[in-house]
Amino acid sequence: MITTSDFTTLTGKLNEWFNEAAQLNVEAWIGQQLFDVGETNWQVYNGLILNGAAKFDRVPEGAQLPAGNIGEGDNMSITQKRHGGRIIVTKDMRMFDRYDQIQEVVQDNTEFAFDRIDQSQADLLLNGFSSTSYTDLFGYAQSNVTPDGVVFFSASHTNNQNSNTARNLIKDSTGTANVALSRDAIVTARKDGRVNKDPNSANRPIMLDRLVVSATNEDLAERTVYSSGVAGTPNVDLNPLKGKISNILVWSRLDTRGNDSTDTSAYWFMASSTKSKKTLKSPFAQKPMLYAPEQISDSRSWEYDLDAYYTLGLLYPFFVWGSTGAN
Amino acid sequence: MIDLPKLAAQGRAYSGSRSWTPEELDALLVLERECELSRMEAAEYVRNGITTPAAYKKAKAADFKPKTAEEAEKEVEKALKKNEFADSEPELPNKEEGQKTRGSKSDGK
Repeated sequence: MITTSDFTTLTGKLNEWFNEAAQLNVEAWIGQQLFDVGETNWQVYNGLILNGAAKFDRVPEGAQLPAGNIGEGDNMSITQKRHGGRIIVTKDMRMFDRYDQIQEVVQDNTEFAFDRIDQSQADLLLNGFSSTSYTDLFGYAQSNVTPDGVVFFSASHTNNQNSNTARNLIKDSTGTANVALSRDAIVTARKDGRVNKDPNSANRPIMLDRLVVSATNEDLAERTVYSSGVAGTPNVDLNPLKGKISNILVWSRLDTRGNDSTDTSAYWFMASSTKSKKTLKSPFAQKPMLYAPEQISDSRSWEYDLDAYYTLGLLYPFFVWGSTGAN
Repeated sequence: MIDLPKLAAQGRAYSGSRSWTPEELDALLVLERECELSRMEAAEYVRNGITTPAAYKKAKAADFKPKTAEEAEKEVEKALKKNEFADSEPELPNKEEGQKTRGSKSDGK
């Protein structure tokens, strides 16, 4: 029987099992490849988009260099939220030395914590096509607009300088938005990204070199990008996309939206592999951690806390592009 | 959280408490482009439910002046106190002078 005198030893084992499970699940956590999941000690995280505020002009001898203006942009703030659950080691488990069950409970809870974090991050993309907020998988309101007040994926992102608009909603060469995954749409999105202009009409190219798809679209995505010939042609040409998409991220969380179970398997996204973290913000004040109970008793369950502090938000929208694949 | 009051003041959100819906934003951009309105002007028309160039032309021909969010807010504040039990008059901020002014006593009394 595991009694109070065994508490320290058992807690050591729980921490060991937790660390093993966490290590495995961090490796499978796709969202961290797209989102900025850096650690912060700010409760409120502030972000600022600079809409073409940078200055780099030729100046006459002796003249002052022009100053950039941070007023030329929009800002946002996101607040850390606590998420977690309790891992229960019941009296029965302790009574009959059920280490097998205790280990399973710890590892399953740890895996689930990372599952939920990853799904909540995928849901921010999947809910980025309509409305201005949604109820997240935890039951709370989550904003899905960027700092310009426009829904994440839009053909009409605004700025505070003029009436120019810019898009990050994928279209194909005919101009149809929300198109299904295809070679034509990938090529058009890459072109649209490269000709992106800031509000002052300066070309600020976005290199969309990462394709993000659901598990359902994995095969289509790989054939489209990795085939040696161009899909749908007599294969006279070598496939130019092969060297231009640096990787395909297959994210099974995209198949079904976590907050409302909608089938979203046709949704697909393109991102800049080096800059998507400037768009997708998910700072952690605390990565998932296990805490031992402060009070224990031989007659009751022992409750270990597993919790994390993180939040979700959107900043400069143009490093991630999306399509519902509906058309 | 985004700075909605700032965006609303630039005509880039419906109000300080909500963004444009995608449909409203589309209407705003169409009015701006096709009726050659500034963003602020187009925003006032969209807030008044005038969302197409045809509706805008009709409103313009009838010399319709769109109500501003500030005017509508004042009306709502007055309307809330317009009941037989209210024992205080609406006290409305005079935004131009930064002072408070008394509402009209004749309203509903």
